[in-house]
Amino acid sequence: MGFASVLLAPFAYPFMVRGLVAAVAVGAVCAVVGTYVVLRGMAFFGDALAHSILPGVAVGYLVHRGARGPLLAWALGTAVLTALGIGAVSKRGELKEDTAIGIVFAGMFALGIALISTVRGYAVDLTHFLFGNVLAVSPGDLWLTLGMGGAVILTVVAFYKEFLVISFDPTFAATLRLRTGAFRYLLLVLIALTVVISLKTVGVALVLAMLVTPAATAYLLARRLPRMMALAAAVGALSGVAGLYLSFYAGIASGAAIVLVATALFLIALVLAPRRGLLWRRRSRAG
Amino acid sequence: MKLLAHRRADGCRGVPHAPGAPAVELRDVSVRWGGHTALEHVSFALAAGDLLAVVGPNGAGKSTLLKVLAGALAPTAGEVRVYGHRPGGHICIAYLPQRSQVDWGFPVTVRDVVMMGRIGRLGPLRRPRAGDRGRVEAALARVGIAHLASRQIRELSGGEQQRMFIARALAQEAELVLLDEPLAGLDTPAQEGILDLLAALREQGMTVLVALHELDFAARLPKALLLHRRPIGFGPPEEVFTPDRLREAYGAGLRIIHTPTGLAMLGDSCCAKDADGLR
Repeated sequence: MGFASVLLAPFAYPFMVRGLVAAVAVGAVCAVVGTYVVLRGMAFFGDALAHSILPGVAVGYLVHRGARGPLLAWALGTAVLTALGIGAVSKRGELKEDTAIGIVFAGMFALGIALISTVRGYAVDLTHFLFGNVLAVSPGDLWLTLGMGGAVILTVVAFYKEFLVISFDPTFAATLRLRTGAFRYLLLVLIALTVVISLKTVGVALVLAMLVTPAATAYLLARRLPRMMALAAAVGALSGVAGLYLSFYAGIASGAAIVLVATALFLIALVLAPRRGLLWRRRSRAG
Repeated sequence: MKLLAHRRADGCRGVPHAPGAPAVELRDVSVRWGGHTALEHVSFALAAGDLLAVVGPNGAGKSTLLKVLAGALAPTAGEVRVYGHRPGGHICIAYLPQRSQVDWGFPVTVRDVVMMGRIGRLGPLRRPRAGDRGRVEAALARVGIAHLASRQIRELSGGEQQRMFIARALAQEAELVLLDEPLAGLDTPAQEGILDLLAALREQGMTVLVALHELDFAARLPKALLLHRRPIGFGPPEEVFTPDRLREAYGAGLRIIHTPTGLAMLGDSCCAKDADGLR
């Protein structure tokens, strides 16, 4: 089997083509939004949000009996509500933010598992929600993913300078009369949207990796934010493609394969990155 | 855009200054959260072009006062006016964070940070134009770091980082500049350089409030506010920094030493973690 046929073989199947397009889109969108997750230290929030959408997915699953379409709408509703809820709880300041997030996160996740477990033979479906199944992406799912992903990216680009200044220096942003609170909620909603479109590809348990790992890789390599976003998107998309091949040929679960590739790329950057990499630091210490 | 050309007369972004209003006015301002009082009964006024040192021990409310003036924090009681307006309605206020509060690994260059000063004037969905870029370059040159414009911000020395934020205030065309501990962690020549720049800002008619730990530098500025949650003294430094008042502000944290040339006063000068910093 020649190299070209190794590359092309998986795409004899239409579901593989859809899976590939979805993996690339999700990888890129997660990475761009993930740039702010990394820079603002919101990794725990992102993970919590991902797990919290499970009850929404479960209700959609119970109400619509196997019909996959409305599932994303239920997930989206739950995600946005959770994001705004966590935002409101942590703003009050009675509890520390990570405690508030932890309570909401674990409670919602448990509710989701409880709901799904009312269905006989639920384990298979639960596994799909937790770890994704990129090969089950329907044409309708794909269009929804591309549309929502495009909207997320457009929003990030349109409010680039506002998100930049609010993330870098919030007090200064307040003196500019920027609506810091509104932009903070907008960012939470963008993260929620991103988590929802990642549901099929990597699942709720692993979406954190797609938010954080490519963005962290880019952080090690870039000196300016636009470059960091572009690099993160490239790393995310590449992880999607390479992960799908790994999944196809090694028979590994697709979501896990994508995340493993992203992790490997991060480790390479961690060692080799100019200025911030381990080798560079060791050399500059020695010299 | 025409309005900007007449900014001095018309106030910021077309918001006219209230006639006869002081540049800064605080009336009986208090800030509390939880059971904790950060500031109480603070009242003072500054004219345009005043340069005020805000001095006090850790937790005295210096950062809180600056954040109230910046409009980032609403006072629990009392009123704050900048040229007769609430701070939130006035974009000519520049706030310079403590260096210890800044994420220096953030992927921005020096030029990117100074350009942030233009964002309030650009408005949403607008990209910087040639005029904005020109002001940024002029501000960088004015504070003497034009040659560092393309550096990532971590690659600057402490003094250069502080100059960068002053350049941002210039690019913003600020009329009120608030600096939180700008001298902390700098060596003496760098500290002198920053103080010279502040004097230059003042000569351009900007009103400057600077929170300081360094009593010796504060004593060289034209006005001082001694703060320990409530104001203990306000006015020319020789009237404010009297042994009695300093002891009242610093308590056991202050040592007064008799030297051949006069009194030397040592305040608590550690400021890595200001207890009055906000979440």
